[in-house]
Amino acid sequence: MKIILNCKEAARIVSEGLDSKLPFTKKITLRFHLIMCKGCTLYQNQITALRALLHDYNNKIEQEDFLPGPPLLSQDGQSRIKSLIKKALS
Amino acid sequence: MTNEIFELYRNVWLYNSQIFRRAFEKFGLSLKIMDKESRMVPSEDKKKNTLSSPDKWVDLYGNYLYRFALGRLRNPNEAENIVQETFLAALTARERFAGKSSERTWLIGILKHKVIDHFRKNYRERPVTDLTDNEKAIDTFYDHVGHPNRSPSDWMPESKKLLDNKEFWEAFHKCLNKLPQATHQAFVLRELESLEGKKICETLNISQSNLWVMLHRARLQLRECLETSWFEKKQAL
Repeated sequence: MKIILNCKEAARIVSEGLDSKLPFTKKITLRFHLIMCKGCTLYQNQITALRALLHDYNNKIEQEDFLPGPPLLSQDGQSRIKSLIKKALS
Repeated sequence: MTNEIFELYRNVWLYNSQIFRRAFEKFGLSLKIMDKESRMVPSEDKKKNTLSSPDKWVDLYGNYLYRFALGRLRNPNEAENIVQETFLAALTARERFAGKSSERTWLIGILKHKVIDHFRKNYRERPVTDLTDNEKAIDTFYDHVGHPNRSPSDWMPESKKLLDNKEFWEAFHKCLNKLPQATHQAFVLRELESLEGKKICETLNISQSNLWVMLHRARLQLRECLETSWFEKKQAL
């Protein structure tokens, strides 16, 4: 177990902390690094806020008519799916 | 002894409730009527959503579902197939539509399941991004002593500023599309579908340590891409 982390190791633990509960020792060594390192603190805040933003975005595009164009379903695809639906209904 | 106490409490309670009932009746306020009315109003207000005729679905929702699918699958043909599967599954599930959500939200719910199914089936065809590829990509962000080549600049991705900004989401998807396929899929399942790590490993058929490396790489790369393509540009303006 390393006590002094470099930024590369710290960023890895920051990411791990977003996907699992960190073991106590890792939490402490990370905290120790973050106190001294402004860059990694910023990194942690940014990717944590990014997660919250993506969560809101996902809710928004599920509930509201939000997704901007231009990609459209191709004309061929539209008519194919329409005829499949018609077939299934009859 | 306990029986006596119980009996006493019961009598007191019955007596009190009779007094209350009489009092209410005297003022012409029957509790029952109040209850009925207050219950009826919201249930009528809450309009149950109904489904439109399926032959209109493609015109109404085809493009939206396609864009939604494209954000997760990236491949136009696959996205089109998923939209087709979604509509056909919706046809058979239509009797079970409870009317709690809007028609579009209901269709998206079906589509999301189809996307996860697709990821599960697709792992054999997926180009192998093994651990070393991702580790090598992570290495490029740091120098030989593990110091970042680029220190993060000072910005915050705030919901209230960015959520409604379609331009930002375009930039976001551009950055997301730069990830290799398996890493992209892992990131979508974790950050958009909010699935637990274990479920993602099962779906993509990868190990937990592989998943962690993928997600770490995705975050590093996405953060830096957003920084250079969006935040630093917008601050410079």
